[in-house]
Order: sequence, then structure tokens, then C-alpha cells
Amino acid sequence: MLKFLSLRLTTSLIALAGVMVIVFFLARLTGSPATLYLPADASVEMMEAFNRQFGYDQPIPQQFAQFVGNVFRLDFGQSLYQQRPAAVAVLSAMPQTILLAAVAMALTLLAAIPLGTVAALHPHSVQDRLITLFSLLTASIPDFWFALVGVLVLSVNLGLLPTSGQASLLSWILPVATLMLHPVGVLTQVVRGAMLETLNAGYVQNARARGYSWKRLAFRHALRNAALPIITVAGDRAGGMVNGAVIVSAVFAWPGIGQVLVDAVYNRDFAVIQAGVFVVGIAVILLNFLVDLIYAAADPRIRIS
Amino acid sequence: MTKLGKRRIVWTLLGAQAALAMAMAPAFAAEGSITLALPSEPTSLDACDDSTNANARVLRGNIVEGLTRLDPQTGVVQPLLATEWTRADDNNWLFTIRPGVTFHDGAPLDAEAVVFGINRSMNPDLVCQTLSLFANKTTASVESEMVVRITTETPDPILPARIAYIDLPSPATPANAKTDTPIGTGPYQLGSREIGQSIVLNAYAGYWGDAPAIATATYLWRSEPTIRASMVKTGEADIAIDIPFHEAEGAPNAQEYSTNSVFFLRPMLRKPPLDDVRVRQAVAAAIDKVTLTEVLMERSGKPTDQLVTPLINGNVPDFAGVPYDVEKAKALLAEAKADGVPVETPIALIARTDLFSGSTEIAQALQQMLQQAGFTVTLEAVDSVAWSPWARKPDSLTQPVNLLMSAHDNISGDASLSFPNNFGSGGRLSMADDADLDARLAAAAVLSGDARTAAYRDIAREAYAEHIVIPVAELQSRLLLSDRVNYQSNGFTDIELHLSEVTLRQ
Repeated sequence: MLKFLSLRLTTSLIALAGVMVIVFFLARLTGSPATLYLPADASVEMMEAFNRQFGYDQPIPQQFAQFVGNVFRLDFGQSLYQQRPAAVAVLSAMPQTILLAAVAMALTLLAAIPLGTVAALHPHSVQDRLITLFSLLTASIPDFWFALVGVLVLSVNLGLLPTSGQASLLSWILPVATLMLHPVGVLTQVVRGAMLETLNAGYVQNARARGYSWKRLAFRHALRNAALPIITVAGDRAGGMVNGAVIVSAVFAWPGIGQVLVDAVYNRDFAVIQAGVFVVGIAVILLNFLVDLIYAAADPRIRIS
Repeated sequence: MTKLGKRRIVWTLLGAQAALAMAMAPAFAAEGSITLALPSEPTSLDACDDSTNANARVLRGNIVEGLTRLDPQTGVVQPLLATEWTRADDNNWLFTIRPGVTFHDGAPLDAEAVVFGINRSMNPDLVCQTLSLFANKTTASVESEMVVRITTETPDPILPARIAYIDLPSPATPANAKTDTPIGTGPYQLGSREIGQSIVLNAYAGYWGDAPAIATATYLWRSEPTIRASMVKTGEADIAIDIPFHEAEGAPNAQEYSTNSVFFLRPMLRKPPLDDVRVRQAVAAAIDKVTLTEVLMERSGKPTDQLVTPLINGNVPDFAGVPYDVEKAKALLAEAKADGVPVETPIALIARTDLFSGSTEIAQALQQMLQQAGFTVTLEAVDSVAWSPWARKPDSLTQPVNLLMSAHDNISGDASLSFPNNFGSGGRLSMADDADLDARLAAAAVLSGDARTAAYRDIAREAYAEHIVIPVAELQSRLLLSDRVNYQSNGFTDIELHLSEVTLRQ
């Protein structure tokens, strides 16, 4: 297991280094930020002074060599847009992002596992059809639309929740609901499919014939065996929540890493792009580690191999 | 002395003391707090960068002030930190500094402080955004303790208007580095800032002018316009700007205001077929500005035939451009084609996606309109950085023939900040190459008063007749107020939102 994990770490770090090199050169291919930060009628001299000030007048290989040297000291440079160290700009967005993702994923699992299990226990019943309809709806509703309609109904019309910001616990409800929307639908269907397959397996049929209660059958025997696809999809969705909650950031002004990265791309804030890719890359590697460990805990065959 | 007499003396003394205390106390009655929901946070808090809307909305007139200010209705120059000014000779101006003004850090405003602030903004190594407004090299020097001499390399008759863009920071500000803790002379001082979330300003007790009515103002950044509007409707904010039409429609506290920004097309007139004036005229005739503004832009623009708004002296009263007429456009194209102009040449329509809300849809509609008239138009949607080589010289000169979507704003009152850059051969954004027009621009730049206005209006007529630019719409915006506050929008609201003009309703 340790050998597997160390191999996984090595390949992940190589992939991260490759991604960072590609991002460095791709970002610079888009042009100098001077055109964005200076007025449209800025003189050539102003442009040159800007490029000189931020080192964009240097040849790209020289900029790259300097970047590599700084990365080893975890120095990604100064954010042009936020005017503070890029690492600080990125890391300051991470705690809120991770907290929001953790809450949303926990609630997603709490909702999707019972719903998918109930649907699988009563296939083609009214319950199954209602749960399937619910999961298809949540998986297909555009999250941007859901967020805005949520604000209009619950905040403007009913006055129950704040529109945006983080002033109180109530302000978590809409962002968490928006973030949960698609994963709940998808995971419910995944749980239903995996549970159906498991419940039809011979050992479950055998246990059923021996008079086991449906609760014991479903949650003690079948669910554990159906866990692998659920863990895989949940891990993938958790990764999306960590780095892609752009809608939540944009609509609810939630300080998320996704929005920081999107803003950085629009604003040609190279230092933040690079710091963001690095931090998100590390987060995804850690998440994959966590998924591997959960795999091993759920299935002894993986632990042994 | 009797007991009664002593008591009377004591009361008299106490009364006198109270009266003296009231007389000596600053006229400071700020109370309450307001919240403003704005679309974007400042990219810089340095006074020398406050020429962009996002920066100026927070800084200008609130934290920092200039020597002069422009009237938002008329564009006329008014005293601010300077009480008066005179033109010593063609290249020199003397500004008398207002006495009794202090910066938020207690430093007095005197000639040395003003010279520091002006020369700091002119430092090319600091790359201040306001520097682009001073193509004419400008320096300041101390004339006397409260008089500043400002010298320009070549005559600048509108220097008092131009200097309104230089806001003055405290002399304690780093001379060779930008600051994120601005200290000015304005009615508000920076309280706190949480990057990406909020900025809080507090009323400055030592302000030299009328005390502001509001004690604390909190700016929140909300990029989504529906959320900004919702915040006012739920009472989370008191002022929200840049609100969509459907959110403001029917709202009693909604106000419409001009952004002083004009959306226009710039033809690449150095290459065929747009080098032919008939083809450019056909472009103008093919555009249905009324449909564009009323339907697609949700009335966030009104049709215009001019590059500048009535606030600017180069605006020609009652000027009418080419009316919408597809048949005329087709006829002009046929005429040009008969004379050998390659009118079938594909023209790239360069659409900057962040030019204004919905600009990509407008570009698609423009493409349709031009194709209806017989043009071959390809659409290229680009962001600001990718737009730059199409817009700015020298790269723009080597691009294929194109129609560039652009916008221009000017609140200075003077066309010298609009016409040379868009109509002159030397303008970075201009495609024109007309020696006669250049000479007229140079001549107009040194005129003043009515002669200057007349000269710029003549230049405008010539430029519009040649279709150097094809103006489409004057961009409008809307704000929403809560029931708690009073504020009247004006021509500067989009770039300067003065908190001192906001009051709490009784």
C-alpha cells in the first residue's frame, strides 16, 4: 500500500510540474497585462515602463528561469490585480472554499445515499420514480438559474435569507444548496445503480432468503460492496467543488478559489494563475490520496494489492 | 458676594464654557452608516490610479481631492483645493492653495504637498493611470508657501480642467511606489479593507468643507447585477449601481444616468474596401441604432451620431448623422463596386466581449445588419487583451480590414481628451491619416473659449462626414436607492460617487 501511495505521489507531482510549465507558457502567450491595466490611450513609453516594472520585458526563458527559482521558495510573485503576494491571494480563498465544499459534500452524501438506496430497494415503484425524477431535475437545472431564483424567492420575496455575503449562518444556505444541486442528482443515480447491482448479487439474495432485515441488508452488506463507484464519483465531485465553485463565488460573493482563478485569467494576473494552479493541484493530489485510502478501507482487496 | 450671586456666576461661566465649546467644535455631525453594492472593487487604491471607474468611485471626491473639480452638469471648472488660478504665460499657470486644509494624517496642505502629489503622478516609472491624460509634459514647482506653479512643455489652455484628474495624496505617501493605504484631504478616510470583499470609509472629522452627513460607508463588491438590485430590495444595501433595466423598471427609487461613454465602430480605413468613404457611409446606413438600443440593449443606450456627449465642447448641437436606410447602404455599395472597390472583401467585426453588458449579442446583430446590406462580415469575439492589437498602434496598422467595436468616455468637458486620439494621425487608437485634420487638431489645442469650441465642432463635423468613427449609442446606466437615503445621480455618477452627496432620510 505504501509503495502504491509513494508511486502515486511521484506521478502526481510530475503531472503537477508539467501542468505548471504549460500554464506558465500558455499564460504568457495571451499577451502583456499592460494592455489591460493601462488606459486604452496609454503611450508606448507607459507600456514599456509597466513591462519593465513587472519584468515582462525580459525574454520568456529568463522569466521562466526566475519563476522556477522562486517556486522552490514558494514565492509566486506579486498579484497585479490584488496587489499582494499571489500565494496569499490564493491561500486566503482556500479555507472558505474547503469549508464550503466539505459541508456541501457531507450533506450531498447524507441526502444521496438514503435516496439512492430507497430507490434501489423498491425498483420501479412510486418512490423510485419520484426519487429518479428528483435526481434528474437537480442534475439538469442550471446552477446559475437556481442560485438567482433562490435569491429572488427566498431573499427578495420571502425575506428569509440574505442575498449574498457571509454575514450569518443563514448566508450559507443558498451557496451550499447551489453547490449540492448537481452532485445530489448524480450521486443519487450512482447509488441507485450500484445498489441495484449489489442487491441482485447471489450473496444478498441468500441473506434475504435467510430473513435479514432490509436495513441490515442494505446498509451493512450491500452498501459497502456498492461503495467503490460512489466513492469514485463523490471524489470527482468534491474536486469540482474545491476548484470550480465559480457560480457560488460570482452570485453570492463567496471568496472561492474558483473565482480567484477565473479573475486571474481575465486579468492576466500570471502570478495568481500559477499560485492557484499549484495550490489547487496540491489539493487535488491530497484529495486523490484520501480517495485511495477510503478505497482501501472499503475494499480489503485493494489494501492487500 | 451673595450665595445667589455666586451661583449665577457659576451658571454664567458654565453657559459661556458650553457656548465656547460649541463654537470651537468642528462642524461634524456625521451619523449613521450606508452600504453600497458596486460591480467591481478597485484595482488600485493609489490616488494616481483613480482614472478608472472602479478606482475613482471609491477614491475621488471621497478620500482624495484635486486642485479643481468639474461641474457634473456643465463640465465647467470649479475651485476645490485651489481657490483661484491664473495663466502666467502660455506654458505656466499659478494655483493658489486653499488655506486651512489638512490631510487625514494631519499634514498641512501647502505648495510643497501639492508639488509632491503632482510630480509623483507624472513620474513615468510609477506608471500612474492618470499619466495618460498628460501627453503634454507637465511639472509643478513651489512658487510660494501657498502658490504652485504648473508648467507644461507646450501651451495647454485647459490645464485647470485637466489638473482636476490629479488627486493629491499626503506627502507621507511613498514617492516611488504605489500605496494601498491612501491618505488624502477628502471628507472620508480609509477605515478598513478586506480584499475581494469590502472597503469601509469613515467620515473625516477635520474635513475643510461641509461635514458629510453619513458617518460610515461600506462598499461591497457584487459582480452579478441582479444580486446588487436584490440587496437594495432586501435592505442589505442602500445604493446599487449599474442595474439592469428589468430590475429598475417601475422601482420608485430607480434613477437613470449617463455614463458619458459612447459605443462606436472604428473602421480600418487604411485598407480596402473601408478606405472608400462610400463604403463607410454604407456601414453607417446599415445600422439600425434604434432597434439595437431599445430592444437588444434594454434601453441601456440611446442612439447617437457623435463620439462625445453634450458635456464636451466638441459635441455639435442638433447634428444628425447618416439615417438607417438599408436600401441606401446597398446603393452605396453598388456604386463603390462599379468603381472597382472590392466590396466583397470579408471584414472582421472585432467584438470586445467585456465592452459592456451584452456586447457579444450586439456584435451578432451588427453582423446580421451589415450582411443584410451586402457586406461580408466575420465575427471575432475577443477579450480586452486580445482586443488591444486590433485597437492600438502600431499593431493595429498591420491587421486585416476590420470594424473595431470600441467605447470612449470623457467627462473633462473638453474634446482634446477625445479627438486627437481618435481622429489624429498620431492617435494610438486612430486609423485616420489626414494632414489637414492633424493641423486643425493642433490649432484647436491652443485655442480657448468659444474659438476652441467652434474649432472642435468643425473637426467633429469633418470626422463624422469622413466616417473616421461610426458612433452607435451613448451608454446609459441605472442605480437603485433604498428608502433610507437620498441621492441625485448626475453626469459623473458612473465614475465619481461622492458620499458627501448622500444623506439619510429623516
